[in-house]
Amino acid sequence: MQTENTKILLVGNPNVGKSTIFNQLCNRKQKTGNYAGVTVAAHSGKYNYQNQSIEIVDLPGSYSIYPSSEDEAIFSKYLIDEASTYKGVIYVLEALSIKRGLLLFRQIQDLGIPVILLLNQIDQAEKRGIHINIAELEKELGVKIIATNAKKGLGIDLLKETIAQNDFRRSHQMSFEIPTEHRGLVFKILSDTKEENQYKIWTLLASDTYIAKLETVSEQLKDDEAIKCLVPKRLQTQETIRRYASIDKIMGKVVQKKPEFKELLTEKLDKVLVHPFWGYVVFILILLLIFQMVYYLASYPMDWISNFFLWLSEFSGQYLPAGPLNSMLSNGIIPGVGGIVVFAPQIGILLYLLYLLEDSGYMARVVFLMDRLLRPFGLSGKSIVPLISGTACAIPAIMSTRNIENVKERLITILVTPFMTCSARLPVYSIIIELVIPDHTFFGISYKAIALLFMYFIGFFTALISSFVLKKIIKNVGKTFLVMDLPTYKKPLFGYDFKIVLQKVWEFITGAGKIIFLVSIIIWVLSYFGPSKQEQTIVATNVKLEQSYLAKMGHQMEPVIAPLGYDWKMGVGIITSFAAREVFVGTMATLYSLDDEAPEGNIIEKMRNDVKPNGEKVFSFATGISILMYYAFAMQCISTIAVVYRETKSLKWTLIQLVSMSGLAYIVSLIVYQIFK
Amino acid sequence: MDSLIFQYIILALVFIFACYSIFRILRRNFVSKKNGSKDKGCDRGCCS
Repeated sequence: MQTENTKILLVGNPNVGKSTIFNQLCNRKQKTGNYAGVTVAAHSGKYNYQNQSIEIVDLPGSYSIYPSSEDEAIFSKYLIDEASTYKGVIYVLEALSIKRGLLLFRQIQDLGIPVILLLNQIDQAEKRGIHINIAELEKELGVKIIATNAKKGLGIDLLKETIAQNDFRRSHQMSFEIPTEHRGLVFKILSDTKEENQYKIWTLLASDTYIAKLETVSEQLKDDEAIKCLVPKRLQTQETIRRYASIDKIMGKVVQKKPEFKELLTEKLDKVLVHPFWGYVVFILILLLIFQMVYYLASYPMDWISNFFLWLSEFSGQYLPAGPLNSMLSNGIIPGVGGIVVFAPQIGILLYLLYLLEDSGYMARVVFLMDRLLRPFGLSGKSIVPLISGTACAIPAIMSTRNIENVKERLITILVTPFMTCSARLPVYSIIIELVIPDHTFFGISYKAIALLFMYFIGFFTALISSFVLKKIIKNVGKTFLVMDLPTYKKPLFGYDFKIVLQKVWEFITGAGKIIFLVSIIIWVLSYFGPSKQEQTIVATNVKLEQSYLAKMGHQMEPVIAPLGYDWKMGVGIITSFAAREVFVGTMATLYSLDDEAPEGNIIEKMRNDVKPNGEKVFSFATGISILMYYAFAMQCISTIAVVYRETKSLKWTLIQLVSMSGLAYIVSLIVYQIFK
Repeated sequence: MDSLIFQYIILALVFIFACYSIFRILRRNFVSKKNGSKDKGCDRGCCS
């Protein structure tokens, strides 16, 4: 039987649950969050229902049809320019913020787009004593309304049924009356362009984005004076005021609120969690607890993984035929890949705990707290979401700067975000902290957890100081303001978040593991062969590590890295980790596995006991702190460099960022080593 | 001896493969996507 293809857009204000509905419909695991700005690009997915193949396109959230940032521009471009390619729009309205959501809804209706309205989180509204008369609202808006609770999947079947029945409704009456002074012009353009929709012409006049189209229209109208005098922002304001006046009337008819409704848990919790003093104290305590759990809970699976790879290496070394292939597998690839896979539990636990916080609504409070803290440093409002998401990975964080309207502020945010401690730094920090920080506790919290927290703070404060300096250089005078809802606290989706984390951990293993796999092969080859001492042969095979080509190349770097306290192996690790920071750990694992002269034990033991020719420990406290500082500041990630280049479209700023971060890393590491040695 | 030569040949191929793959991974980051006229702002890997 043949299936019919139908494309439908999923739209609404930010943080109303669009991505959750998208996931429910398409059975996907699109990243969701309990704060605005999680989706900054269009995502699409499909599902089949009653012999129909339905394609759902999840668009970034927007408050209005007029874009004020790049992600909102994606939304408007798709909605208006691609109107012929989709069947209709599912508009998601949050029951707690109907008034705000109806502004965009009415604009979409006036564009003549067929709509189904979803009233999401109606249970939350009932809890707050807000009653919504859905039948009356349906009548007022002239649209089919479906009440949903996206998190629990309630109403999704009815939505699928409604889509299958094609119950999208088009409004035939405009809810916005074009102001009298512009009506003549709108009608003139209407007749010139043969467009039927008055409101579409109005959006051309009131929007900055469609200026190119406006110019075409203007040419047709032979430089009409009326067009020259138009101020788009003023027209938008005029429209917004008129629309809210009519929305207020609807609200009066359909929404009833019980007076003196009891204070909810959210209000009680927020008295502490967003308090100007206690809010920060609680935040630091939560972070400490997370890092403590990262160390404590991850230690068991890490030991199992480490022992498994040790066994696998010994097994392959013993039972495979002797020769170079055996050595490459058991001394190169297995220890290299194992060296990075061992950190998967730590990354998984950290991400899981952060997802739970995000899902509960607490991360939105963190954004609010940070906004207050960041303002003196020149970062404000919308810069905070990228900085916070930079703690997971700088790449999506830099992409999320698209919702910053002010170009200079966006540039500053892009330049400082890589300072935030991403999850790729975690294996490096973890292994170095394990080597140089003693195993003691302070009031039950391990020194290692405190050291890790300290590294996160260093990244954060460096981002702040850098933005303060950049603000002076770039001369950013404008400011954007963060307008966001503090969502109600919700019970996190433990099972769903666990599945997402498993997916992320798998991406880490296959992503970083693939690079480590390839780097391990190259490192092994360069360390297995060396310059020959006999005249008859070109190369010597199975040489000692110190006599290999790799050692020769590594020693060339020593004049540069010796002042930082690093030996040639660490130099090689730094070079290979330009591909990705975590490659440093895999490189170290391969190198120490290859070194016959290194002390016996697992990789960590070998690293801990390794000594320089002068008898000094390779990983002394001074060297350890120096390398921690190096990775805190250095731009050691080729993918981040690429995404900065793509987002700024400027080679100059990409190079400035690369050189200044690497320079800062070198100088700080040098100072730290010289002080502590 | 033959077995050893065979191992070195495989080794050479694996080494070339590793170098080329690393080069491709590094290069892929900087190759700009060719956006079609129907580009909707989708990120690589997000659109099914």
